[in-house]
Amino acid sequence: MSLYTMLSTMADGMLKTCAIFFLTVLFSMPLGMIVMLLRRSKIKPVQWIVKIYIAVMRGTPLMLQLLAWYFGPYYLFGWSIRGYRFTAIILGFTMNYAAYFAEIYRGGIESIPNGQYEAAEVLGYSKIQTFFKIILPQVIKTILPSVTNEVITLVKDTSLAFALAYSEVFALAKQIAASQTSFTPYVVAGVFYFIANYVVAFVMERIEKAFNYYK
Amino acid sequence: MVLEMNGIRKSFGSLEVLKNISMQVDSGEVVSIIGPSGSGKSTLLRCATFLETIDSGEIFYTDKPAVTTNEAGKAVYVKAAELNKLKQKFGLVFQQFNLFPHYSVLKNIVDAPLHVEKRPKDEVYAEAMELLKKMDLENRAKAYPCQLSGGQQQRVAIARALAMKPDILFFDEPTSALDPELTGEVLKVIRRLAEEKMTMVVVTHEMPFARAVSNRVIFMDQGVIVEQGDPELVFGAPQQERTKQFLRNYQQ
Repeated sequence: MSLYTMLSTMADGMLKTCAIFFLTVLFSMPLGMIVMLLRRSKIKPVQWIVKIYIAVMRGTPLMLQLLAWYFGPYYLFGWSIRGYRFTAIILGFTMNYAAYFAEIYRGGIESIPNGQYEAAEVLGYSKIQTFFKIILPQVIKTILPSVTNEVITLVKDTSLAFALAYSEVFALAKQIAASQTSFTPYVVAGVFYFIANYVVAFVMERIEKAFNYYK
Repeated sequence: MVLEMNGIRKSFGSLEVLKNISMQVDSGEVVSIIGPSGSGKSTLLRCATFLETIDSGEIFYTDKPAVTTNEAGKAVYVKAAELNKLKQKFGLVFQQFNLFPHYSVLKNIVDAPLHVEKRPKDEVYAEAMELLKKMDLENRAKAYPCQLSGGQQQRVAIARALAMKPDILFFDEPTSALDPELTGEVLKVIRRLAEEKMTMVVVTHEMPFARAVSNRVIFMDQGVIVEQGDPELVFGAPQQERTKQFLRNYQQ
């Protein structure tokens, strides 16, 4: 197999990896916001449920969670899981990362001094204005480094989708490496992840710099 | 009467921090509240500015009720919309300044008049520059709070409160977080406001300042007003033993 055919075969896997990555970011970041709000709810049972959810998401391997999301419906309800693979992957990643993002957001919100809320209240800002104009911009600045970390981890975690036999770049690399008895596909996959994370780090650094105009 | 507070009671759990406090402030009056830490003076200010809810008592701003007490003796606040209108009548300057760090000095001052009061842009910016000039900060309009000294930050906070054109301005230990060197510039600004007949209530530990600037001094201890009156009388010839003791300790 020439390097060219290998690359073009793996290119499809790279696209699939990117799809998992972007869809997970797209869904898990806003979902994390909702989870965080529920986690801070004044209704105790809601708090408990969210706490249990976060504990399970953080306390069990993501690979196991992916298997549960994919095979669970069949074993529990006898549902057909044909054509459900990609949905299960996105569900698994989104639910897992939302838990982590929720905790990052919570840390950010709780780091804002109470005086900021009080100053806004005395000046007559509404609750919504206070959150979006005063609190949120400060929260974003404080959580950016942790979010960068999490997003970089996600790039590498996408490889866990191979557990559901989804042909993203890592699964393909394994396949080709086995059939061609060659190490090259792993090198290609490694370079791909590295470059992807380099881009992520570069973009996040830019965003962090944009918030550097104040301390 | 700009502010009238009657029979204010406030407890945190089983600890009663305000025990039946009444206080009236007339237009143009400068009232200083002094007393040891834990005497309830900051809590009184936080109740007046609705940052804490009182258990019982009445609060009026320019004779309009904000809080009344029902037959059961429980405080009843007016509806949120009504209360928000009354919030426009006062401003509060915090010990920790509480400027918005992500806003420039100018934006800190103009944002609430623009987006809360929805006043015209030209007018708000012109007034803000005027206020900055008054605070000797007109060349720092574009700076961010982190680039300013504590004294400068507190003067911006005063300008921010004044931009809302309050009828009364509250100060909660405005110089306690400042280096001794920087307290002077903040006190000077407050003194200038007093000369302009701004109605103010100042919780402070700066006794010489309280004596020089205020029309009336209130000495609080353990949740009650022990003594109040003309600053020369309270500082010069205190009647209550507790007041004498406090001032003696302070002078040592």
